[in-house]
Amino acid sequence: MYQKELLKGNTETLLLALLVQEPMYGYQIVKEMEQRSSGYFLFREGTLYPALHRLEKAGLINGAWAPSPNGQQRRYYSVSERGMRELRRKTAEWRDFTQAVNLVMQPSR
Amino acid sequence: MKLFSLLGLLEQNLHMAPTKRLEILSELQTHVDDRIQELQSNGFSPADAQERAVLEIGDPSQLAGAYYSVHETGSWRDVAMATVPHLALAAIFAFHLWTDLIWVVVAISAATFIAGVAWRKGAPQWAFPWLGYALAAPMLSWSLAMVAIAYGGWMLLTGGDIPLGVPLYIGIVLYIPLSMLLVIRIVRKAVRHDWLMVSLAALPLPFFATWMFMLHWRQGALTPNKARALEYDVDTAIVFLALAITTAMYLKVGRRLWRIGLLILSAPVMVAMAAIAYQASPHTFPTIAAIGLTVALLLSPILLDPGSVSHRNSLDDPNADLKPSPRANS
Repeated sequence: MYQKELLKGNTETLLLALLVQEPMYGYQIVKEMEQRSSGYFLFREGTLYPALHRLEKAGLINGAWAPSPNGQQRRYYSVSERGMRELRRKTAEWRDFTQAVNLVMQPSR
Repeated sequence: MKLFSLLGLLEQNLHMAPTKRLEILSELQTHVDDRIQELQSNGFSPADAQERAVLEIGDPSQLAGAYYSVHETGSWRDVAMATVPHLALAAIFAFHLWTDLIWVVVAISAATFIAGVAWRKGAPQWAFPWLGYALAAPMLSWSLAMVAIAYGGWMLLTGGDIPLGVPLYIGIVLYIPLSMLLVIRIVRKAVRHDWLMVSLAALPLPFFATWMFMLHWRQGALTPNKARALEYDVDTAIVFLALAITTAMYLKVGRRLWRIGLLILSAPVMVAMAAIAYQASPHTFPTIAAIGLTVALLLSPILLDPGSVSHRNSLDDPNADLKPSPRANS
């Protein structure tokens, strides 16, 4: 339950952090997220696609149809300039938050 | 459940612009195709792979609700644009401008022009209230044209002569069906976007009808007693302000059921407000009948929705019940 709430609050930041590295399509995002988190994050389609569309509507990412290496058309998402700025802000926020949590939960002896 | 059934159910629940709907379905289909390929390479049979991939998508109506919330929740810009016609009408009544024909013509022309331009640019949500006012003009003209035909017929029968000349009546007889066809075509197109948006567009119509009824009933501007009708202009302006507030709330609410509830509740409230303002008791039969007709009118666009019948049929399909996704970790 706690894990679910944590993910809910950070889904869009995680997506921005992943897409800033290279443009990806939905299924690729699921696989990359699963792999990079060693299976911790398993995105369901019902979470992933509405989140991607929300980011696109907010102008943080851009979506465009393009052929994948095997020739099939897929919708690739890439981070926009605005999304880059938002990611920097969210990353700084997250760093401050985790530092503060660590200071409380793991006080130096 | 097969992939085409899933996509069909999803399509029926995606109440948005057809282009957006198609894009969502295409994207989801490529996702499911990828998953099927992966499962097959892991040893699943094609049928099992498809069934599992489809199950993992989850409940199509929930997924459609999530998409609806993202794409159909209006921005503040949408709210500003959508409330302009209601606020303009409120101003026209507050400053008693409606008795001057030029203001009425300007208002109808502006609504028609803006609705037309917005429609060509993909029919954004804010365009629907404009569309409602643009279509109110031909609807009003039908009643006037029918009155003219009835008057001409009566004069022909009683006096043996048609006033205003035969060509005018031929024009009217041609105009009514042609303009009706045009309006029906526009409404059907709008319903393909979302029948509920057509209800939003139709929201001012019951109130307009109440107001026009009041004009005749109270012997207002259409008769010599114009001053009497002007007494109610502030109340009328308040109803248009209420329409603007309802429209703003509608656009900011991202859940479909809440939107339906909002329209069903607000329209009768506005008719009752008008009835009280025009000094008709809200308990009288005409008011109650007007409230009932208002709700029926606002829900009637669902009958034009091509997806509603097949959607009900698919819900009867026992295979339509989806189990929860086995990938429930997220």
